[in-house]
Amino acid sequence: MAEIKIEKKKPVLPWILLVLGLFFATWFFFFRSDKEEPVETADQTRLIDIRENNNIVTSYVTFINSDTNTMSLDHVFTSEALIKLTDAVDAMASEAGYDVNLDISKAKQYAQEITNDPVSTTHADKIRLAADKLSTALQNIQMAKYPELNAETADVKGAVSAINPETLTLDQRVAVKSFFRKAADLLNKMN
Amino acid sequence: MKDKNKSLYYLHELSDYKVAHEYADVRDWEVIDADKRTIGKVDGLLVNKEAERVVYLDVEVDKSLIEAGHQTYATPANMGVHEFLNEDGENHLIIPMGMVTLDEDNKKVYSNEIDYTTFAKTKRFKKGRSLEKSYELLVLPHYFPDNKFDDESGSDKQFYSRKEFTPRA
Repeated sequence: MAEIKIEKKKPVLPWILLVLGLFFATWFFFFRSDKEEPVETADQTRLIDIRENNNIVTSYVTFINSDTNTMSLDHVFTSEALIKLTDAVDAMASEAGYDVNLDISKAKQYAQEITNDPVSTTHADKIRLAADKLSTALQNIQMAKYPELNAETADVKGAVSAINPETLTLDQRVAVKSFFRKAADLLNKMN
Repeated sequence: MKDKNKSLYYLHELSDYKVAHEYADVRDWEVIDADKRTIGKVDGLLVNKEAERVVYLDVEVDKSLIEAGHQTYATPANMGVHEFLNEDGENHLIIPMGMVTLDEDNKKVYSNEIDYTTFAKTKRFKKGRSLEKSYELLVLPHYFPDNKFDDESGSDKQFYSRKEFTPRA
């Protein structure tokens, strides 16, 4: 048979597009998803939507909220509140994955000094210094992980500045308790 | 003689066409005449898109055939059939598909109806020249002196449905 028929070639373009599509899909699922992990981490900065329910933080908040006597303040309460707050900030920093070791260690040092020397007239100095360190740590955690709590952090910082280091602690009960409560409020919202 | 729109294309010119599945691509196959002498080799496939098949083989002829053609010019015109004047470098001719059979096992094309002399006297052309209907109508009466070829009527499909182009068993 001396017949030679011809035919149209099958279009190659759809196959090229299909291969490119598959290549892109593969790239998207295997490589893009890897790179998106940091973005997911960024999403996790909205930690306010996540309930950490950290026991140490809860312990501090409960401790502060259970003290209903606004006018009562003694050295034991101050010392215990400061230690619990320090632990709570440390725990919250761990939950949020934020490094506040330097501030925490200084705050712990001041809290220990108050515990060891309950009648010192310099308590307000130590409380103020500890409150400064702790509020700075809280502010750093808030700015990095809880941007919605800006107002609460400002309240804490405001309460800290209200503590006069020159005045005896027992003479400024309201200011000190206000700091502990503002900090408890902020930590409670973070937690 | 009037040329219509182009009706012949080399297959290699048509990038979106190919030899159909289960049909032989005879390019580079040897072409053998009725006397079992080698004419040349298939250099190209001339197709008609409307008919969707190869209608001519473009054959690059052997030097020996060109030499034989020269010898025919030495004989007086009144002593033989009319022959064409071929110039140097014109070493291609076309063969209608209806004149050939294919030996796919040995990759050879046989043209049992046309002898060496007829091929030698055929009007040839240089490789790469665009082939027009006028060339077809010049060559076909040479191969088929008893047949009439009229370009004025019918479509390409009708024209290439003639027995000169239809397959031989």
